Amino acid sequence: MTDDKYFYIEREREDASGVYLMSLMVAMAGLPLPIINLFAMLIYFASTIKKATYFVKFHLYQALISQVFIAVFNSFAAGFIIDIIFFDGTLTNLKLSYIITVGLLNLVELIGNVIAAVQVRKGVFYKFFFFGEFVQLLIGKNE
Amino acid sequence: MNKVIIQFAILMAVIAVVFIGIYSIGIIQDEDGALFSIQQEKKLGKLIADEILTEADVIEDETINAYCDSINKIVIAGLDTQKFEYKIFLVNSPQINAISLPGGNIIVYTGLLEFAKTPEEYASVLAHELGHSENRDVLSSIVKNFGIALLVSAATGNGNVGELAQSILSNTFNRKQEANADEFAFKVLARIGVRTKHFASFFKRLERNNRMDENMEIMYTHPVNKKRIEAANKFKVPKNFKEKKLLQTDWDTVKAELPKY
Repeated sequence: MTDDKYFYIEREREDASGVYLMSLMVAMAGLPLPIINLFAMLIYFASTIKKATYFVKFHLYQALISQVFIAVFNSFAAGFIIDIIFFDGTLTNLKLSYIITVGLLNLVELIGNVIAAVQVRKGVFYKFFFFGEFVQLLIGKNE
Repeated sequence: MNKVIIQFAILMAVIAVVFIGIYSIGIIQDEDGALFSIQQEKKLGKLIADEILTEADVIEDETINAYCDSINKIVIAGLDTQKFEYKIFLVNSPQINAISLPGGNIIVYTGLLEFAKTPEEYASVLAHELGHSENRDVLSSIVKNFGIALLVSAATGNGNVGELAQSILSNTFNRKQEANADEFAFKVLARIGVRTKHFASFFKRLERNNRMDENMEIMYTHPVNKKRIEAANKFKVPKNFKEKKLLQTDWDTVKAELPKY
């Protein structure tokens, strides 16, 4: 006989950490385009959110919202890069500084996703700075 | 709710501080928006020019150089502002071409002088090359074509300057850069009393003579199209324009001094 509670918690951990792993996989597969990364996250979100427990729902929302946040910044950076490479735009100090800042932001997000994937897989309720609080504001706290 | 707002404000503040910090370092200091400052380009240009000219057959004949220098000085005097101290090297080669190197160094091949019917045609091409230099096209084009790693490694002495130098010899500019260099040249020519019809006639003749000839290097690095020739013909000289003759000596006499290959 399987211990249903143990199985359920294990399944929760897999589903919740999976969303962070999805982000990493898409980045490693060489798909840095912001819209594609976001699209992949949305698909995973849509397929997993139904019948998700609070633990899973929280991490799905946290990963998705943080991804949307980064995507906004990435979109401008991608626009600058495309303009410079394909449309002979001028690379100014402002644009380069922005691109580097966004690069650092993506690096922080990547590291955050790795840590989150590991912690959540252990069953830890892992909150990102700001995004964790924001998600709890959206979906409420698990009382 | 308050906690969320405060954390959001802190997050945005941190991002802003990082951005301002990177911006204040001033990685790009040049007002042209170039990745390298003028000083850096001059240093890199010297390295590259030394590398290329070591293996080139540089003309040292005083007579030819004197003729060319007299034209070069007039054209350079037509610059509105001057970013570099220009050094123009005459290289013995059948190639009909002139190449802008970084840092104000320009190579003119004797093949170009032979192909030019008048000193004004030569001046037109030189003015065009000066346009590329003044517009900082050279380095930006190299970065786009060959990547910044090659430039940085050459500049820091860690890389192969030879590899970079060879890359530059086949470097091409995009249409916008070519059009801007043309426009620049027209203005310079107007200032020194040369009509742009000489620019048009040179490139029209070049296009007519276009054959798969190894000497026609200029065609591959400077794509000719009707729009460029039309632009030259349409350019209106200023009201105070006075046509001048660039060289008192007959151009064929100058060409006769050129060495044979």
